[in-house]
Amino acid sequence: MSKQGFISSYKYQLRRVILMPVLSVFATVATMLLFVGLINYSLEGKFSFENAGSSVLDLMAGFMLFVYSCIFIQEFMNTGAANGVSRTTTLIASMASFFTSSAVCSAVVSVLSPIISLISGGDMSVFFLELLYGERRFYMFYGENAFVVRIRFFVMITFLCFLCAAVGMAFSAIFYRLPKKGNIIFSVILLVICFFGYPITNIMLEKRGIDLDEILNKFFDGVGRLFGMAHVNGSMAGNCVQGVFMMFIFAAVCGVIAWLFVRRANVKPAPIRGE
Amino acid sequence: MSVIEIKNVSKSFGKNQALCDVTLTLQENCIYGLLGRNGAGKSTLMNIINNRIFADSGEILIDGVSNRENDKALGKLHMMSEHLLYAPALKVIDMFKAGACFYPEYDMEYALRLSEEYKLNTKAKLQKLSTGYRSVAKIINALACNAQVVFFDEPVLGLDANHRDMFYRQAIEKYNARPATFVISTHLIEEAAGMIERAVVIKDGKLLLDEDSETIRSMGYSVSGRASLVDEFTKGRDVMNEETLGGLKTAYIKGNRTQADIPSELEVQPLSLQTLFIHLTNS
Repeated sequence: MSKQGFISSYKYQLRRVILMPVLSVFATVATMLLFVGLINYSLEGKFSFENAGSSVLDLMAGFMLFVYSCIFIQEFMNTGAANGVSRTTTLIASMASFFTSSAVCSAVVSVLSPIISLISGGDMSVFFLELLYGERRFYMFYGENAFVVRIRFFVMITFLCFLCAAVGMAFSAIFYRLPKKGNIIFSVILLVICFFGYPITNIMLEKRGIDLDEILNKFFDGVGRLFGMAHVNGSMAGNCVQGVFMMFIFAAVCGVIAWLFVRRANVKPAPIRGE
Repeated sequence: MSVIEIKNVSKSFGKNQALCDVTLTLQENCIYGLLGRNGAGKSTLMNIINNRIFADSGEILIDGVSNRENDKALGKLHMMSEHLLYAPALKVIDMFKAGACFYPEYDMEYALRLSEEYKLNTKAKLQKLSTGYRSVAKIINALACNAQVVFFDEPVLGLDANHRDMFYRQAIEKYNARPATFVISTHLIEEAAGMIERAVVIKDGKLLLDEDSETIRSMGYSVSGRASLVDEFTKGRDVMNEETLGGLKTAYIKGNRTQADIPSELEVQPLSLQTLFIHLTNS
């Protein structure tokens, strides 16, 4: 990896991705507000944003990062290849640019959330991470500085988005590496697992007298403990530092998986519509 | 300095052997013509040099350093390929800006000037351009990047005669103003022959010829004139090909010519690159 290659890739990629997730979050919030306004108007004859909520806005931002990282990895790889940059450098630059994008997205979510609460006249909107690590007002109630609490959640949302982007990169890298036939088979396997994985496994294990739900509960408890979540500790507050650390570790693992797939992949030109 | 050493490179796609033990050195500051029939392995070789696909065996050294996942080596190269590697929804101007991001010596002013000359709409999206104009956009990008080695894979694909002429002219102007290594792979050999300094011919994945233009010209000659005279002259000589039109005949002969042997009624011309190419790749 060279410094020049990394900086060039990072600059190019940032230019391409920095605004997309943010605009998507804005667009979703605006649509939500518009619909709430219209529903209020039809029910009460008055256009207002009353009862508009923006819960799990952080999860939505993470989902956006996942989608955009899936979309952009192939383009980044190809652009890097077209301009004399290795796959490894392109991938490391992608991790950096998606991390920056995650931070920007997290900042937007952190700023939007109280604004929406304000205009909807309701309570502070709940983040997805608050369900896992304890609500912000809980931390404030126990004497933590409001600014520190906000910063804590800004960092956590950043890493949640980054983890989602890294998972998207790993997925996209698998598709980039596999040939056309392999992509179709992989997609079918994914769909089968998503839709039929649980019932099939449940039936198979039931025959042997094993309860799948119990195994899954244990698994999720284990995941919760690993990420320092509140509910497994039996406490109102989770271990945020542990959560951030584990999100970073898992994002790094996804990055390594993506690298393993991409490093020996042939460059795949983008198809042009109608040709 | 940018010397590319290709050492015993082989590559197969399934049962098809695209390249077979190719060994070749591309010297700095030279215009190469990489020639071969369809499926000969030209694009495969260029893609391997540019780290876009991987060789099954052998190695590529750029200034003595392997090209595999090596930014320092790859940064010296640029390849204008038949396929589009930028996002199709990208505007032409954004493609130039991307190029400027990656190549420190990218000449944006030159790119914009060429765009005007070609009447290329820089605000158009790449996917909306015709095949010809997409080639033009990629040509401009390749010429403006100022890389030490530039590969052109079918650069004149879809280009009209005027644009093709402009490309050859601009490539030579660029080469004179800022010497670099150009490797041009094209099927329009006659058109590109004027600018090619050294020809590399590949047949069925094997290197067939790597000679400079002067040597190629001296490898054979053509004689034309009255058929009977030509027939008499060609007796005992290695004739590559013959063309007859009415009573006139042209014979393409392999080997060095000695002016004294040739009757004054026959017209003698040096062998063209295309004729030699057809002979080499047909046999």
